[in-house]
Amino acid sequence: MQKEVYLISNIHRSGSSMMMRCLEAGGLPVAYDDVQESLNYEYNTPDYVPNPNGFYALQENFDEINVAQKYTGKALKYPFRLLLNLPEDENKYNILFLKRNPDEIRASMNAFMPDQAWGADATILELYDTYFDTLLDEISKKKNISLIVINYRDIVENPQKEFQKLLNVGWPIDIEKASSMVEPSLYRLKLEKK
Amino acid sequence: MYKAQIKDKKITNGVLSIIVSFSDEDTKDTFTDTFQTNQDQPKEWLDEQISRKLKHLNSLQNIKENIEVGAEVVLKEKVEDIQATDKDKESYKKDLQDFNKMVGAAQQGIMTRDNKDFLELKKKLADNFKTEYLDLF
Repeated sequence: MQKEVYLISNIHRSGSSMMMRCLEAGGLPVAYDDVQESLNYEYNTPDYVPNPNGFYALQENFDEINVAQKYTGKALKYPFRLLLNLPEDENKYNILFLKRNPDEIRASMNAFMPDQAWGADATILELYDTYFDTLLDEISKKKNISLIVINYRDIVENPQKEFQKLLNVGWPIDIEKASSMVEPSLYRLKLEKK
Repeated sequence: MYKAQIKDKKITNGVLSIIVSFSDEDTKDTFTDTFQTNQDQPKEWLDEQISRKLKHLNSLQNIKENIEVGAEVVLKEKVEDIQATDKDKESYKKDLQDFNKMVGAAQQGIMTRDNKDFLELKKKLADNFKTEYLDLF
């Protein structure tokens, strides 16, 4: 029997925590734990709390489990580097990939952990479109994957329109309730449109 | 036929860059390319790099002659991606490692992201990116 799972993926600081919160409010069961919540205490400053509403992340050995079997019907954050490893099995993998201006992501990373390098993620930011266009193109070739790409800025500026797109591709959500959780005030490192 | 001439050499942030000019007398096409390394290389390393580039450049004329302007192209049933060879991937990996160091230097304020070497290597990595390289990141 086909199992279905909803995966939210992106590079760090692109809005996946906000998206998880919205989906949960919109009625989609979500899977997360509180392991990463300590980061809010470890890295907060008077001017900046990384994720005031939580990280909504799940500590899991994703490369060792069948995520569709274990988290059937649920939405969860999923590492983008493992997307290509999703099996072409009988299950359906609904993927929401969040994009954001890489300069904003870089600024958010620096605000979050100013003294730490972000390793390969920082390099990917330099080649953002090249890397992710190729990755998403490859993912979309798999028959059991339904991929939708949404821009973080678009969700903040027009949540109803973006959640309607999700609904249209089969994500079972209440648009109004999901949209009500978007907090434009947390779009803290917004750059002018080029 | 393209010919190559070494124009400049310099070491910046531990990376040796050699600027090479390529020109074709027949077509009057002229441009420069940069070859870089941050480690010991065999004596013939640069010659090999430039020779490989010349070989590719000089094969362009053959490809050009076989292209008919105005010809209609239809979608083939199956389009195979050109597979990156292991050697290409290894070369890309080295460039990526160099770039990782530059990105780290930029994060620490040692180098700016508009540095010429930074931008050139970034462009090289973007221009030569292939699906097979996704796992290098």
